Amino acid sequence: MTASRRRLLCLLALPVLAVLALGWPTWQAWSHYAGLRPVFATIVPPGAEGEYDGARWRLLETVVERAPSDHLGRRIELPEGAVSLLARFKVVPGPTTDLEALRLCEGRLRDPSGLIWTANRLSAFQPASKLPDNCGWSLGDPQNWMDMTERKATPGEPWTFELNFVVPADAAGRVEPELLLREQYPDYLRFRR
Amino acid sequence: MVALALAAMLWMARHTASYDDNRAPFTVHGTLGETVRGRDFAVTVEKVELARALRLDAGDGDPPRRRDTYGVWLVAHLRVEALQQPLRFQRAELHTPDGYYYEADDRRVDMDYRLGGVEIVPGLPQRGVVAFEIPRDKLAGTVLEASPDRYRIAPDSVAVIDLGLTRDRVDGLLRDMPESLLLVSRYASR
Repeated sequence: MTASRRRLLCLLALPVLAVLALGWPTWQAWSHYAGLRPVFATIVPPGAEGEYDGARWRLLETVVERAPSDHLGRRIELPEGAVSLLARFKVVPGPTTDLEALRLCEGRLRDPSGLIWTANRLSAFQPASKLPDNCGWSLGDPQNWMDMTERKATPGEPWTFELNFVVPADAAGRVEPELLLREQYPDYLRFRR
Repeated sequence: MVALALAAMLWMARHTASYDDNRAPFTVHGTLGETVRGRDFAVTVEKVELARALRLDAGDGDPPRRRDTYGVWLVAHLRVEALQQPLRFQRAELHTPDGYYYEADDRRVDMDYRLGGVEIVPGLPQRGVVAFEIPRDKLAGTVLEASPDRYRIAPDSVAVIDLGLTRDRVDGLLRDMPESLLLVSRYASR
């Protein structure tokens, strides 16, 4: 190989190396970032089902209440200007669904400006519920405190659950429920209402 | 060329942020009564009170529990708003001009009474108190540092609020200080 040809090859290799030197660390940093955060929303149209972690998910309904009651029938005093928003979901796990990961799922609401409200579990604002507040696991029957039976979602069987949120009354109409599984990051589900 | 490179290296070594600088919070400053906005929260110190003792009323019909101190209790009334996502306002410290700092008393004033026990969600600001035990001679010039991030895990906003505790103001507050201050549990009315 002549000297001029070697120089030409070096010149051609330089841009490739530059792209690799900049692109590879950037890609690694992005992969690390996205692996720890919900970045890409799968949008589920109203009434439709979404596929996530090998399971089929559906938002059944959302119920907004200004004066919810707790499990003893007492009225829950919400903060001034707040309402309770119950979101009911159905999930049918598939054969590849990680059932252990299901119980760690998180629910939240997001408004168009990006504000986020997380689901209230074990809070003072927890209204009476007939359904589990977990995507794939429950301990006991919400209607019978004597019952401490552990229940788990199983593949092919529908599992219905509900999540409770406390949000400002003027935000209740424009928020969209989201479900997140850490193992599935950067993907998550967003339900249109 | 070598001299230029050395000069550039020296300049970079002098001007590169240190580890402490990298981990330092973004401070936002304000004064008593002013709303201080951080990245994900806004806080207003609405009032500051001093007392020799606190009385904690759980609202259960029992007499309030008394909390005495060898110094004074400083009770700051805060209004906090979450600007992005739910948070708990868990870190509050008083910093004195001579470098001492006093953490809010989470042990003797339990979470039913103080603001740190409440989840604050966007659009629904919450009011509550944080209480500190502090020696009387440390009050003058003290500022409040507050943020949601109790353990400073990630560098983020910290509000630094001048409580207006000039020597004259402290003298006035100490002179008019009540024997005790009643704090009522937020669950008392439930």
